[in-house]
Amino acid sequence: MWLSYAAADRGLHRLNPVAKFACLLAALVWTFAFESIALNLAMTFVMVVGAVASGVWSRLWRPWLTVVVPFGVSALVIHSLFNPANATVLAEFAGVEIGREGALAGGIFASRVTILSSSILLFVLTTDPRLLMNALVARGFSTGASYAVLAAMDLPPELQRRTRSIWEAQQARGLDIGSGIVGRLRSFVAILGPLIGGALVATETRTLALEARGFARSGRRTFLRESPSGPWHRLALRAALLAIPLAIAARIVL
Amino acid sequence: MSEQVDQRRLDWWSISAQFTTRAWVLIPLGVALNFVGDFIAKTLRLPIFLDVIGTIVISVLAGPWVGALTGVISAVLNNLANPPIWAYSLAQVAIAFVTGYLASRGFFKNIWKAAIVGVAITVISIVISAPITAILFGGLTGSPTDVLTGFFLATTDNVVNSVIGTQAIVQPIDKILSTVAAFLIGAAIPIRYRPPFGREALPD
Repeated sequence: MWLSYAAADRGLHRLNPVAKFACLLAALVWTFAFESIALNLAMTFVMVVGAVASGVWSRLWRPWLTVVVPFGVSALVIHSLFNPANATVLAEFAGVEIGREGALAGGIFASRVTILSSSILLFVLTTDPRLLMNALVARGFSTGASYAVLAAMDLPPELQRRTRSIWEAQQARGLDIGSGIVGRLRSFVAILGPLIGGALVATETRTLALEARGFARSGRRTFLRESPSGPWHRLALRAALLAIPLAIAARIVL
Repeated sequence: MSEQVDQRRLDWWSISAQFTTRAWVLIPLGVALNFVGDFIAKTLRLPIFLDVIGTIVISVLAGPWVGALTGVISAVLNNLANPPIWAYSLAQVAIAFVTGYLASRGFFKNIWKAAIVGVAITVISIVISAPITAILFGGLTGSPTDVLTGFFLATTDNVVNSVIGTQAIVQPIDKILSTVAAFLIGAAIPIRYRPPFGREALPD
């Protein structure tokens, strides 16, 4: 599943992308620094409110559930039953004991993945990648890396579409994809060969086009679109940047 | 001869020599290959992931630094479908460096040596990703292999050992096949499309 920015002008869409990126990092650091289900649930609630306020909840909940539910179920089941720390029996079904310590550990891992999933999906849906990269380049990020990230976001869906076309063409020529494991491995090569060949020709064209536009030149760049800025954006950025070392220090001390 | 070897060692470690415009353009292709490899493997119902194939191809073609960046971008973008993946960026970086170093030492000159690189990648991949899976995610990945981890957890009483047991079953075939496939892809690329590192590392 390939998610991309959902353009809008409300809620988190209006926050400076660098400040939003710092908030994302802070959320990730907090969830790993504090092993607390309550904190993770509180952060998830804030993110759900943010998603609704930004008008992206309808696009977020489905991919969110496909990640959170399988991981959550396996974390709870496997740790409740098999965690080596299990000492207190919470319940017993047909001779199988559910351990309290394992259930808690499973809950922490499940809620941690919930934070990972919700924060990253929310960030992707509310952040224009081009604006983010412009803002990062303005702060000294490499233009080459910026190009690589943006192009990497566009290319996989395109290559996936091309894979389907090659797939159908090869099947029309008699490629048997339903055969044994060796036959399926041969099919893999038969599909990948033409795919890479076509992509390399495009790579050559792109290299020439970039060179012609002064890609390798150094120096200060100017941008067509600027990121939103102001005191609130700076406050959000500073608060997030402060929250990261605080969480790490608390983890070490506590 | 010794001068040539010294030059190769330098190229293996030199960031500026590896990041040419062509290398920057190859990175998105490597990221896309990681996704498409995984997509094709799932569609063909192959019992492997093939999700580092792009990282290996780019490390051989453009050098370990470019391959490492390819791996990190892949891991970051893969977060959209599978958030725990970001934590494995380090494994992708290690795979890129092992591949790039061994490629500079002539291990991608024929298919059998490439298979040996696959074994090395398997080991480094397990050593790095097993503790990450065990410590950050309780040994689970949200994939069907969690059943195996549950089985090992019930029999060994140790999360790290359980994850290592699971990975020792899943990883070797996947990584060796990925490396061999990367060799076949790299060798099939015409020399004029290869960056300088790939011209040295792959057979003509």
